Amino acid sequence: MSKFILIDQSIRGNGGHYLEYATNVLNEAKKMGYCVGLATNKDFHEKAPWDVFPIYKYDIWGSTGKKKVSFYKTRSLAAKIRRVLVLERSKFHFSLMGQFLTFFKRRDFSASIKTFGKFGFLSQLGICVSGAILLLLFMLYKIIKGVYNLICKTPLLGGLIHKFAMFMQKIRTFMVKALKQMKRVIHYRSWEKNFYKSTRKTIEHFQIGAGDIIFIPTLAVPDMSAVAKCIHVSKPAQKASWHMIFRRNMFQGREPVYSFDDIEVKAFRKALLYFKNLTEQWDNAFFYTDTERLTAQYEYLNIYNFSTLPIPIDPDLQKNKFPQNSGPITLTYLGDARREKGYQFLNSIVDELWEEYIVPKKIDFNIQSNYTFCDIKSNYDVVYAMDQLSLYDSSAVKMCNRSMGGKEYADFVAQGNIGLLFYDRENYYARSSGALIECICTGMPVIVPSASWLAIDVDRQNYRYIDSLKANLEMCVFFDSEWMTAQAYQEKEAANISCLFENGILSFSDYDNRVVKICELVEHAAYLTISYKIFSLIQCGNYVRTKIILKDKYGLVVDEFQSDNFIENEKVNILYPVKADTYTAEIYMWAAFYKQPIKITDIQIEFWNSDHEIPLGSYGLVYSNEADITPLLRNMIDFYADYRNAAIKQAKRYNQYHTAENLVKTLALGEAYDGK
Amino acid sequence: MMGNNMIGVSDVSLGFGSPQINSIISYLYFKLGCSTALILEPDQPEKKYNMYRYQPIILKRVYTEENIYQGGRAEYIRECAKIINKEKPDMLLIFCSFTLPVLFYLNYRPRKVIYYNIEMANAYGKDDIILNGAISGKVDLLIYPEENRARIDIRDYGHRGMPMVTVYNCTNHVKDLAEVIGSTERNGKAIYAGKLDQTNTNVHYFFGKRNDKICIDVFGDISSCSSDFIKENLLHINEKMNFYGYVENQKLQIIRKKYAYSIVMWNPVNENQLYAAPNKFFEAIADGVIPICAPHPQCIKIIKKYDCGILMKDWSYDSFCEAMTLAERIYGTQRYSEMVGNCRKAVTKELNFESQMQYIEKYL
Repeated sequence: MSKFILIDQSIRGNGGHYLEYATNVLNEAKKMGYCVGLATNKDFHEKAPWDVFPIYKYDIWGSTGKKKVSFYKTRSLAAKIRRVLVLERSKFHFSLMGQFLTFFKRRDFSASIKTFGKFGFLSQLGICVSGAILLLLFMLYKIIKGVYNLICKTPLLGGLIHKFAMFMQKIRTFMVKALKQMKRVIHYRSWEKNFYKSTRKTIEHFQIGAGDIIFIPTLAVPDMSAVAKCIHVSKPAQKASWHMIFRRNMFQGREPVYSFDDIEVKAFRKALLYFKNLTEQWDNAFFYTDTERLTAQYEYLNIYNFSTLPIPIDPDLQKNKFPQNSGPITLTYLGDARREKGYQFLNSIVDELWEEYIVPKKIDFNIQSNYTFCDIKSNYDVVYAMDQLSLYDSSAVKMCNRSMGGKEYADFVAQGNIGLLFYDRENYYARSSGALIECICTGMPVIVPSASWLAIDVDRQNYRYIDSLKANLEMCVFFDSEWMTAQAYQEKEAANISCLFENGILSFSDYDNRVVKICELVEHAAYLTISYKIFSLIQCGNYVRTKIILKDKYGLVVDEFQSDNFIENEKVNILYPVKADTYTAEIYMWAAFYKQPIKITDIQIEFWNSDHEIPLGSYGLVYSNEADITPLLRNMIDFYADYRNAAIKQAKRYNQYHTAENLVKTLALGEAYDGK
Repeated sequence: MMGNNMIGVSDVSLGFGSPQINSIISYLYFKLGCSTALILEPDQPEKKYNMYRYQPIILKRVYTEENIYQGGRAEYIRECAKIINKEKPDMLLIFCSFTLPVLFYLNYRPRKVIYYNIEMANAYGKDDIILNGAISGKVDLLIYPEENRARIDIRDYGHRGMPMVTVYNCTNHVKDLAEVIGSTERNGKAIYAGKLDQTNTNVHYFFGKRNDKICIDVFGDISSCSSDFIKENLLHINEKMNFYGYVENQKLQIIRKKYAYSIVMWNPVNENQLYAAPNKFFEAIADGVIPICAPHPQCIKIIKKYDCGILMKDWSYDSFCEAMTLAERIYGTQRYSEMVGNCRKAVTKELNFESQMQYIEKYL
């Protein structure tokens, strides 16, 4: 029987979903007839229904999971002493002596003498004596400094002293840098060596041989180098197939700023080349990511082909049972309390929805609130949000403050009705979010950030939904051409109108070169749709940002909304409700992230009549600006049944693709499963 | 119920600004049934002292040899600490970082210490930053007038584990709400009351050329750091601006009601001013005088929520002119009356002292 061995050096316990991922995959592999095994971090001591081999010392972050007690203790003691001293000094500032010295330093001698008069006789004597001593010391210091300056000014001696001082400074800087670098290299070597030794032991332990699959679902550069060495030296390793998946961003940002000069990218490329050189002859290594965008990132290196794997989620969440919701709609925040996951927006959302939706028990919140950060400084708004959320009635705003794993987490997800995924769009531009897949697989409508991986499918479905919606609405006004630059509009010059629009193509660039369309007399319109196609874009990764400002007949802003859009080969559709008092709509467009020329075509701006409100999206909504989250959520809550029905349809599609079965099949075949 | 005494340490002489100080002390005095309540105020010689201004609460002026803003602060702190150590109140209220060092000179721990951060601490210098970072265990409740200020304090001082509430600077009581004057009875002008200073408040905008015809009446002290240009222009006769000098808060409340608009604008030169929580904004709304505001986050939030004011796009002079033109356009229309009505709705619903105090009730 072939073996399926999963190596996850980060599995120490239930935290971080590493164990869940491994469990889902191994269960499926077992079902498919493999003899399964799991190699974990040596700190893992849980029981499992298969052979577990806890061996690895370092996790994916290169951490051993143990704090260096002595170093931190020393630092904390030093910090404590420093803090006490600084505090005492600040307190001293407000004492009588502090006040006296402040006046003295300011050379406000009349105030100094007045303050001096307030001291007792002994204190006055003490001040005089200490003053005299300080004066003597000051004079001595001045004399020494004068002599030193005199020597330095002497041409030969002074020059030598100066050069020596500079030389010593350079040596010191060099030593500090070298020591830091050396520390890094030693750590890296030890990490790589440990992974190598542990993997050799794993191969021996599981008696790996021909036809066996070794799957490493998360690995770092030292781990990859160690795997290469293993394959190079170990005969059993050469017979098995190795499958490695990269789930983190290689490049920072989006395509226009992908840089091969980035130090991390350089290191990774070097490691991948090293891997190829050592293992090419056996051709038994396969590389994967879990999103198309990540795959594209890794393939930029032009060394290996990467395939995209499905994201296997807990089968308990994939039962395709979508119960009808009775009682309040539960808005669920998934992901720990971190800025990267948008936790900081929650308190104002709860506040804004409180009266209209929470008090009448239309909705409640379920918020995953455990946190792992120690650095309050960079998570200050998260800390504030946690404090504020804890002030609400805990039956309406439930906060789960502990780390959940396995069944508890699955239950938490299954209880949700709307998924709140306010992830950082920069960090999640290419990488995946397991939480999104979990939400969709359970039929939960979602709200996600624009221009991120999370928005790709939501956007696509919404464009189709808006297209189908238009057939059922009555159009009242239609606009097509006559755009102008925002600058011309501000300066009330209509001269620049025509040059922007040539052969039905509208060109614009970044915010400073944005274009605007003014739509007047749109009274009685209930909805606005904007649609266009991308005609040309120099590079992927840039988006068209559309800002709609609705004004009343006096020019006061009634409402505003922002949207980021880009889908290749498909028509973009934006739908937004028009408030009753709207008289004009100003529509601005510019390149959202980078200064790049963009051309769009087939632009249609239409205003529609409707005597009833409608859902603004299919199974999810996408926000570009945080201020738009609450209005979008209101729509989602008001039309929950429609969103839910659309989400259930999506769930069926997602549940077919994002399974451990598809993942294992892909690994077994050595190519991407075409079940999408 | 505390049933005992309470002391509040103010950073300004009362009756001319910071009305939240006496409001919160009065509220706590009656709410908790305190036997005595005392407010310690610094000696600002130009501001009149009236011990019985807020009876039954006693106002005690603490005299210092030096001006408290020019070296007398340490003396004020020590004197206040002496009084507190002698009186040993059960409840102590500290108003802004200026008076915070008092806490470090106490020889006992009051049963309840409330630190009401009216102004941001980082404006006061290095020592204040250090002392604010050391209040853990000394304070039972932190009150902020603006949520971003609370966030910044967490960032700068690592406040954690202390209850923290945001309470708007609304001091008007629902029961005292006077009838709003109809737009036809108003004078059609805009009022600006506050600090007059080119750096902090963009006061020079008031005498610049504008297309609208709204006249701005300016009330306030000309700051000592204002340039001659500002002083001359304020005092110069101008058909679109009149300068009336400094008036007491109570008088201002009577005057303001007749105006069509109230201008609220701080120059965002620091976080304290960017995240402004201006009393004048809430006072204008309470009087049904539509505020014309610079885009301070709190003003944006409230104006968008209640549709009760005009927002400038940014802090530029062009935006100011644009907002004034809009103001002129809507004055006397149905839209104007609607906004006035929205001001009243906002006040009865949320922007009143009673509603704000309910946030701190659970910590008393």
